[in-house]
Amino acid sequence: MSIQVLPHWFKKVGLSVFLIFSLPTAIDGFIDGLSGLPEGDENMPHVISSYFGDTLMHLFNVFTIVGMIIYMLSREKIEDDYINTLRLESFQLTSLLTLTSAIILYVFSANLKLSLDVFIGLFLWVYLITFAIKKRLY
Amino acid sequence: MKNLIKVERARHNLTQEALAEKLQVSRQTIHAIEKNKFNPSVTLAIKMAKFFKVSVEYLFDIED
Repeated sequence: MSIQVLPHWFKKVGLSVFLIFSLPTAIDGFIDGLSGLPEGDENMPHVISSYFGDTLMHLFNVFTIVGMIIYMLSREKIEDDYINTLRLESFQLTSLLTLTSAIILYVFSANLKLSLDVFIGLFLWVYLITFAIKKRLY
Repeated sequence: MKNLIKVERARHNLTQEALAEKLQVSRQTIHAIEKNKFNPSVTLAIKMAKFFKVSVEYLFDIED
Protein backbone atom coordinates (compact mmCIF):
# COMPACT_ATOMS: atom_id res chain seq x y z
CA MET A 1 0.00 0.00 0.00
CA SER A 2 1.37 3.40 -0.93
CA ILE A 3 0.56 6.50 1.08
CA GLN A 4 1.62 8.69 -1.83
CA VAL A 5 -1.93 9.64 -2.72
CA LEU A 6 -1.34 13.03 -4.26
CA PRO A 7 -0.01 13.67 -7.78
CA HIS A 8 3.56 14.92 -8.31
CA TRP A 9 2.55 18.55 -8.90
CA PHE A 10 1.22 18.71 -5.33
CA LYS A 11 4.86 18.92 -4.21
CA LYS A 12 4.89 22.49 -5.52
CA VAL A 13 1.58 23.20 -3.74
CA GLY A 14 2.94 21.79 -0.46
CA LEU A 15 6.17 23.75 -0.78
CA SER A 16 4.30 26.98 -1.55
CA VAL A 17 1.92 26.51 1.41
CA PHE A 18 4.91 25.78 3.67
CA LEU A 19 6.90 28.82 2.51
CA ILE A 20 3.97 31.26 2.62
CA PHE A 21 2.80 30.27 6.11
CA SER A 22 6.25 29.94 7.66
CA LEU A 23 7.12 33.46 6.49
CA PRO A 24 5.51 35.35 9.47
CA THR A 25 7.40 33.24 12.04
CA ALA A 26 10.57 33.47 10.00
CA ILE A 27 10.32 37.27 9.74
CA ASP A 28 9.79 37.57 13.52
CA GLY A 29 12.81 35.35 14.12
CA PHE A 30 14.88 37.32 11.63
CA ILE A 31 13.97 40.65 13.30
CA ASP A 32 14.84 39.12 16.72
CA GLY A 33 18.19 38.00 15.39
CA LEU A 34 18.85 41.33 13.75
CA SER A 35 18.13 43.26 16.95
CA GLY A 36 20.09 40.77 19.07
CA LEU A 37 17.15 39.56 21.13
CA PRO A 38 17.44 36.18 22.87
CA GLU A 39 15.86 33.19 21.09
CA GLY A 40 12.25 32.37 22.08
CA ASP A 41 11.76 35.25 24.50
CA GLU A 42 7.97 35.46 24.82
CA ASN A 43 8.03 38.85 26.61
CA MET A 44 9.64 40.66 23.71
CA PRO A 45 7.21 42.26 21.28
CA HIS A 46 7.15 40.65 17.83
CA VAL A 47 6.10 42.80 14.91
CA ILE A 48 4.32 40.13 12.87
CA SER A 49 2.90 38.14 15.82
CA SER A 50 1.47 41.31 17.37
CA TYR A 51 -0.12 42.25 14.06
CA PHE A 52 -1.79 38.89 13.38
CA GLY A 53 -2.48 37.77 16.96
CA ASP A 54 -1.91 34.41 18.65
CA THR A 55 -4.84 32.58 17.04
CA LEU A 56 -3.81 33.47 13.50
CA MET A 57 -0.14 32.71 14.21
CA HIS A 58 -1.16 29.28 15.54
CA LEU A 59 -3.21 28.74 12.38
CA PHE A 60 -0.17 29.73 10.28
CA ASN A 61 1.92 27.12 12.13
CA VAL A 62 -0.76 24.50 11.45
CA PHE A 63 -0.72 25.39 7.73
CA THR A 64 3.10 25.15 7.73
CA ILE A 65 2.78 21.55 8.95
CA VAL A 66 -0.04 20.88 6.48
CA GLY A 67 2.23 22.13 3.67
CA MET A 68 4.96 19.70 4.71
CA ILE A 69 2.46 16.84 4.91
CA ILE A 70 1.16 17.66 1.41
CA TYR A 71 4.77 17.58 0.16
CA MET A 72 5.33 14.26 1.94
CA LEU A 73 2.20 12.65 0.51
CA SER A 74 2.91 13.70 -3.08
CA ARG A 75 4.17 11.14 -5.54
CA GLU A 76 7.64 11.27 -7.07
CA LYS A 77 7.98 11.97 -10.79
CA ILE A 78 8.58 8.23 -11.26
CA GLU A 79 7.33 5.82 -8.63
CA ASP A 80 8.83 2.34 -8.59
CA ASP A 81 9.81 -0.46 -6.19
CA TYR A 82 13.21 1.04 -5.38
CA ILE A 83 11.77 4.47 -4.53
CA ASN A 84 9.25 2.71 -2.28
CA THR A 85 12.13 0.84 -0.58
CA LEU A 86 13.99 4.13 0.00
CA ARG A 87 10.82 5.67 1.39
CA LEU A 88 10.29 2.74 3.76
CA GLU A 89 13.92 2.93 4.96
CA SER A 90 13.49 6.67 5.54
CA PHE A 91 10.33 6.07 7.59
CA GLN A 92 12.11 3.41 9.66
CA LEU A 93 15.07 5.67 10.35
CA THR A 94 12.85 8.65 11.12
CA SER A 95 10.68 6.66 13.55
CA LEU A 96 13.77 5.34 15.28
CA LEU A 97 15.39 8.79 15.58
CA THR A 98 12.20 10.48 16.81
CA LEU A 99 11.59 7.73 19.36
CA THR A 100 15.22 7.82 20.52
CA SER A 101 15.21 11.60 20.94
CA ALA A 102 11.88 11.41 22.85
CA ILE A 103 13.26 8.72 25.17
CA ILE A 104 16.50 10.64 25.76
CA LEU A 105 14.53 13.80 26.59
CA TYR A 106 12.31 11.81 28.96
CA VAL A 107 15.34 10.22 30.68
CA PHE A 108 16.95 13.58 31.38
CA SER A 109 13.80 15.53 32.15
CA ALA A 110 10.66 13.65 33.18
CA ASN A 111 8.56 16.83 33.42
CA LEU A 112 9.77 18.50 30.27
CA LYS A 113 7.07 20.58 28.62
CA LEU A 114 7.41 20.86 24.87
CA SER A 115 4.97 22.10 22.29
CA LEU A 116 3.67 19.23 20.13
CA ASP A 117 4.69 21.01 16.93
CA VAL A 118 8.34 20.51 17.91
CA PHE A 119 7.96 16.74 17.54
CA ILE A 120 5.71 16.94 14.49
CA GLY A 121 8.25 19.27 12.86
CA LEU A 122 11.16 17.04 13.87
CA PHE A 123 9.49 13.95 12.42
CA LEU A 124 8.58 15.64 9.14
CA TRP A 125 11.96 17.34 8.68
CA VAL A 126 13.97 14.21 9.51
CA TYR A 127 11.84 12.14 7.11
CA LEU A 128 12.04 14.66 4.25
CA ILE A 129 15.81 15.17 4.66
CA THR A 130 16.55 11.43 5.00
CA PHE A 131 14.49 10.60 1.91
CA ALA A 132 16.06 13.43 -0.11
CA ILE A 133 19.59 12.33 0.87
CA LYS A 134 18.86 8.66 0.11
CA LYS A 135 17.47 9.60 -3.31
CA ARG A 136 20.43 11.79 -4.20
CA LEU A 137 23.02 9.38 -2.86
CA TYR A 138 22.74 7.28 -6.01
CA MET B 1 22.77 -11.57 -7.25
CA LYS B 2 25.13 -10.39 -9.99
CA ASN B 3 23.89 -8.90 -13.22
CA LEU B 4 25.07 -7.70 -16.61
CA ILE B 5 22.93 -4.58 -16.81
CA LYS B 6 25.94 -2.27 -17.01
CA VAL B 7 27.50 -4.38 -19.79
CA GLU B 8 24.29 -4.50 -21.80
CA ARG B 9 23.66 -0.82 -21.22
CA ALA B 10 27.13 0.00 -22.53
CA ARG B 11 26.57 -2.35 -25.49
CA HIS B 12 23.40 -0.43 -26.36
CA ASN B 13 25.20 2.86 -25.77
CA LEU B 14 22.69 4.07 -23.20
CA THR B 15 23.06 6.22 -20.13
CA GLN B 16 21.40 5.22 -16.85
CA GLU B 17 18.92 8.04 -17.38
CA ALA B 18 18.06 6.88 -20.92
CA LEU B 19 17.61 3.25 -19.87
CA ALA B 20 15.50 4.31 -16.90
CA GLU B 21 13.29 6.34 -19.22
CA LYS B 22 12.84 3.43 -21.61
CA LEU B 23 11.97 1.05 -18.76
CA GLN B 24 9.81 3.66 -17.01
CA VAL B 25 11.71 3.46 -13.74
CA SER B 26 13.85 5.99 -11.88
CA ARG B 27 17.55 6.50 -12.63
CA GLN B 28 18.28 5.61 -9.00
CA THR B 29 16.74 2.18 -9.59
CA ILE B 30 19.10 1.44 -12.50
CA HIS B 31 22.07 2.62 -10.46
CA ALA B 32 21.06 0.52 -7.43
CA ILE B 33 20.58 -2.61 -9.59
CA GLU B 34 23.94 -2.13 -11.30
CA LYS B 35 25.65 -1.73 -7.93
CA ASN B 36 23.87 -4.86 -6.59
CA LYS B 37 22.19 -2.78 -3.89
CA PHE B 38 18.70 -3.68 -5.05
CA ASN B 39 17.19 -6.79 -6.63
CA PRO B 40 14.57 -5.87 -9.22
CA SER B 41 11.08 -7.33 -9.21
CA VAL B 42 10.34 -10.23 -11.56
CA THR B 43 8.38 -7.85 -13.79
CA LEU B 44 11.29 -5.42 -14.10
CA ALA B 45 13.80 -8.24 -14.66
CA ILE B 46 11.69 -9.60 -17.54
CA LYS B 47 11.20 -6.07 -18.91
CA MET B 48 14.99 -5.55 -18.90
CA ALA B 49 15.69 -8.90 -20.54
CA LYS B 50 13.10 -8.18 -23.24
CA PHE B 51 14.52 -4.72 -23.82
CA PHE B 52 18.08 -6.02 -24.25
CA LYS B 53 16.78 -9.04 -26.23
CA VAL B 54 18.52 -11.53 -23.94
CA SER B 55 17.27 -14.11 -21.44
CA VAL B 56 16.64 -13.27 -17.78
CA GLU B 57 19.12 -16.03 -16.79
CA TYR B 58 21.83 -14.35 -18.87
CA LEU B 59 21.11 -10.92 -17.40
CA PHE B 60 20.81 -12.04 -13.77
CA ASP B 61 22.69 -14.80 -12.02
CA ILE B 62 22.90 -15.95 -8.42
CA GLU B 63 26.42 -15.64 -7.01
CA ASP B 64 27.95 -18.87 -5.69
